[in-house]
Amino acid sequence: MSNFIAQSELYLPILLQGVYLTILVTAGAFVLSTILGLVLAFMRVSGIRSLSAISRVFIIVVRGIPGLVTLFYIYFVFPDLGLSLTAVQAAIIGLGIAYSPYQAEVFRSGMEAIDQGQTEAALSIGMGWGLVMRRVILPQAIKVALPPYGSTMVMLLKDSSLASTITVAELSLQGKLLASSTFENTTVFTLVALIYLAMSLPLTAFNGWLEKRLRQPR
Amino acid sequence: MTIISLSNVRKFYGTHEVIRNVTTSVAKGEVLCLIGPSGSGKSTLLRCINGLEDYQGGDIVVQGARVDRTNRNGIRTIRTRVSMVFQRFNLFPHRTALENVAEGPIYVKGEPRAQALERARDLLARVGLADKANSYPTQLSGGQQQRVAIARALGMQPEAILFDEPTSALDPELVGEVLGVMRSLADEGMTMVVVTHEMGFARDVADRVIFLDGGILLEDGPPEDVLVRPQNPRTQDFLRRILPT
Repeated sequence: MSNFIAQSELYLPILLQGVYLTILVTAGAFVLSTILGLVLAFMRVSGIRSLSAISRVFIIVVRGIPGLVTLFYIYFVFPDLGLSLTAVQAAIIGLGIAYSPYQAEVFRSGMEAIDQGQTEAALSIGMGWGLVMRRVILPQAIKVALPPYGSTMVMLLKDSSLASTITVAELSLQGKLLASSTFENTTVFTLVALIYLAMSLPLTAFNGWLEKRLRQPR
Repeated sequence: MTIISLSNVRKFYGTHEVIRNVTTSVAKGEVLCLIGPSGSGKSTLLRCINGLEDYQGGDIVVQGARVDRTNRNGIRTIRTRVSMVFQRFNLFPHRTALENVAEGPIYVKGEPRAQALERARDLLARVGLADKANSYPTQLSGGQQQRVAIARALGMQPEAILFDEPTSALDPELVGEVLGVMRSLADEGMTMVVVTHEMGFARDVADRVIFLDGGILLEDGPPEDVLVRPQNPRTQDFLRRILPT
């Protein structure tokens, strides 16, 4: 145990260098997947058949391809098409796209959970589609969507380790490099696991706090 | 002066015809009650008037404008002139009673916030809920919620209000307070179209009663004729079943 602590003091700074990239990739992909997910969900519930169909096909296709393959595709295939990205850019865009179907389904199920009578009441006072969404559906849907949205955030944090496969030196890749150069597999990978856990806990706590806040009287 | 007119209105669900050539009209200040067995098409007909449902034949005209769901701006304008009160209230649960009433005036009609809130307060007082302005719908009884919904409909300063079975979801002891508010609206000259099973209300308050069965308009006349001396055997049969003798 004392050995573990001594080694930890040595290895932690190196691993923490990877944490920065893990957070960057996670945050970037989360923002991108949220935006894409919202657009896909709006297209799906828009009532316009062509938009809904495009959204549905996109979701089926992207969800059916492993995130790892999406990353490879963007990092290795796009340059052949004349679009070169840095490894970090490719990781953010790839994970953002790979996660957008899950986000879209979270948002859609939130919106569809709201009683049809709410839409009718909003329409009956003359609201158009935009107002119905903004003033009536979304404020209620967000409460329904928040718990699965929070889980998605934690899943994405963990899956940011996929970026290691396209040379992004984030936490798991740093760990792998460190372990293969020191042969201290136990110490290094225990530390890596603990750091991931330490990052996911605040996310979970924040999500719980937000849920509670939104559930208050209103 | 006619506010709402329906001529030869037909509606289909697939090949099933649920409204069959209904023609009638509602004059300014008139209270029209729609009665009939469940599944007769009376709620559907009501929902066609403000375009919550579409119809396939004939015309519905509100103050000179044809109700046409494909005309987005047109239908929104019609809905600001003809409000609706629903069976299940459909208040916005994330907003207070006051905000529910002020929502349409502020966000749809662009009324200044302070003015809209003050008017909303007056309207809540008018339905007897001045002290509930800051309550959320879940904190109110069914009867109170429905009165807030009536205030919300009034907030749009409509030419007419459509009531879709406004007391059917209420506990029996709460029906009276809602009917009381509707009665006073009628006394003040509000144009109202009411789908109801409350025969007492129809008899006392309605200027005209329509009896629908199977999507067909079978009777249209003053309540003393339709409810007391119905011509059609199906109306007679319906009233025999619904009215305690």
